[in-house]
Amino acid sequence: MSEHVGAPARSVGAAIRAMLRRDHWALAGAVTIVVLGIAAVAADLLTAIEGQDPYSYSTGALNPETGGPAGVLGGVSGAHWFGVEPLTGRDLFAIVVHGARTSFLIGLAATAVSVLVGVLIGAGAGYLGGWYDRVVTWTADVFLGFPYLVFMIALGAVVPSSVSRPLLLILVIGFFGWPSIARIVRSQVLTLKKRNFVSAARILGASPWQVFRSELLPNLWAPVIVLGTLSIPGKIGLEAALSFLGVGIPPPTPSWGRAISTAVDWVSTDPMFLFFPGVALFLATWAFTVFGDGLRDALDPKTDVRR
Amino acid sequence: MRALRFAASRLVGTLLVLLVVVFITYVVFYLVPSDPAQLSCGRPCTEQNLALAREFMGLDDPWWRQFLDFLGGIVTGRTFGVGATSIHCSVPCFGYSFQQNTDVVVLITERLPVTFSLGLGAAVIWLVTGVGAGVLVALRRGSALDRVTLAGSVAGVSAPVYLVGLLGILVLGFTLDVVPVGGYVPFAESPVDWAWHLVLPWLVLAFSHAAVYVRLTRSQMLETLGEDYIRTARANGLRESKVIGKHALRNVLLPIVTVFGLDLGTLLGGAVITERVFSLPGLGGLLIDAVTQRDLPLLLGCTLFAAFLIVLANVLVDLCYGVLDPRARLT
Repeated sequence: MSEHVGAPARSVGAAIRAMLRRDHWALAGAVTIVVLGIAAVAADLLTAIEGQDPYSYSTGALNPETGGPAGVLGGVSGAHWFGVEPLTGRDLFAIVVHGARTSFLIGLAATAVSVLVGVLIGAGAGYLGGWYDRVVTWTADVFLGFPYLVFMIALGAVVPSSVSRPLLLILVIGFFGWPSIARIVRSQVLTLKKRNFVSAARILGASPWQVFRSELLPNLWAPVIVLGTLSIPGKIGLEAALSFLGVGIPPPTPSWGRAISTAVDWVSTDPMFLFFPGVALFLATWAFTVFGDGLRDALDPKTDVRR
Repeated sequence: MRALRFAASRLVGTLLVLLVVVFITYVVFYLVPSDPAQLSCGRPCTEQNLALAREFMGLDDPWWRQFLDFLGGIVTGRTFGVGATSIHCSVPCFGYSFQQNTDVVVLITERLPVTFSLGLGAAVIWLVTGVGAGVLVALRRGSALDRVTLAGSVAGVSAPVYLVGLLGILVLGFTLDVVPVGGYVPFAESPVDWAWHLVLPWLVLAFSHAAVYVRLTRSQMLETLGEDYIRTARANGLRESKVIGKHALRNVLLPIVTVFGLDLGTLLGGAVITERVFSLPGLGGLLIDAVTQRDLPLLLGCTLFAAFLIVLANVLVDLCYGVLDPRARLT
């Protein structure tokens, strides 16, 4: 605890830098996020260096009798760094790095949707109060009681395939995330609005929007960043789970969840096909979890989990 | 009187939540441009057949009328069509699967034992091990055991349940060949085989959840041990086992009950994935079948049932709160 007291954190950025120096787990998480992030952004470049792409079939890399990859360890070689997918011979390294792009895109964009909607609704409810507050609180309760995973599975089945799946996933996963953010933001705003600087701004004639932008928002960043970061692994996992069940990202777009789903049938004969996308998915969720834990410890010392 | 009014207001609130869930689900499912009549209309599907199918299923009515019919069916049952070819869906009618020619309620109750066996068995394991390990490492804070358990629990929180499941199948099923990797034996047939076939799914589902409980129990325990009343209890000369077991644990259990309620409520969601990995014929499998066959009434029924589970879990949590925390009674 004494370490926390001794580290004065003036801004969110300074607090994060101080945390990364002190907290080795969070640093490991941050490094992993950066590595996977680079893989996601530079997926095309990396696969070009390897000389492959995630869509071309290469049946020459397969064992003609079993349909599994030719060679040891799932066909790992200089040409196919992570081996190939059984039956199609598509390059597994290309699938994994392009899958990182899919996962990060959906995880981060859905979190942005949740945060945006959650902050606006939650801050409005806390600041304005009255019937609006009651409606928001009640709606959030209903949403928290909504069987969202079952609903998303069902929705994936009924929405026509002409609707872009990544966009649908971002909107649906993001939208179901707002109540938990709105709740915290609302309770923060309820305490903030009793403070003198907010009253002063209001008495000087600031509109609710001005109060929100220049008085409330700067004080909401810390909890919102913590909550947002901690919700990313869940969203990445949700996209993978939906793709695993066949109602997420449709083929041929690479997705870790769908690769793992295909690997189910090959787990006894070609475990490496499970290994690479599985480890990638695990590392991504793990990295955001430990990084988010570190952030929470650094920005919100009350809820100290690790020390 | 007060208790009665409390119970009544809770009941009304619960029904209201369920009604909103049905409404949203209904509107979304029936407004998206996919036609249930088209899907269950035989081939070749002529305009005439399609119109007949629509009329039969009540799809030619406006959506609000369909919604009211659906609600009415729960209380009074429904009959689709007239005469000899009509289909009756008995009370409580939560829809009729035209593709499987069965009441949705029947389909769900048929599969329920599998999902319940899976979920409740796993819940017992994760509660006992998660809370137990959490208390243990909180009392040995900073030790090697504490650090290893914490690192392991972060890994457990991060690993998706299907990944753990496939790993379990690979190691315990195929490589060591100690447990069956799939299939379900009804409890009534042979309780031993029932448990034996479920060992691996239980462990896998429990592992993913237990990690959350370890972290939660540990942090809550550490916070509670710093409270004044614990110091007072110790100062009064109470044995340590009594301080922990009676005074501290009661406080620690409150947030755990909340999380447990949420987990029980969303059990169906988690079971979908576990059942797919271990090929168990439960509700999750039913849901996936409904998805692949675009069986809208069945999808609606499953979603509604999932909402019902969540609401039921919330009521149970409230009851537990009343037992654990006298302050929470009747508020």
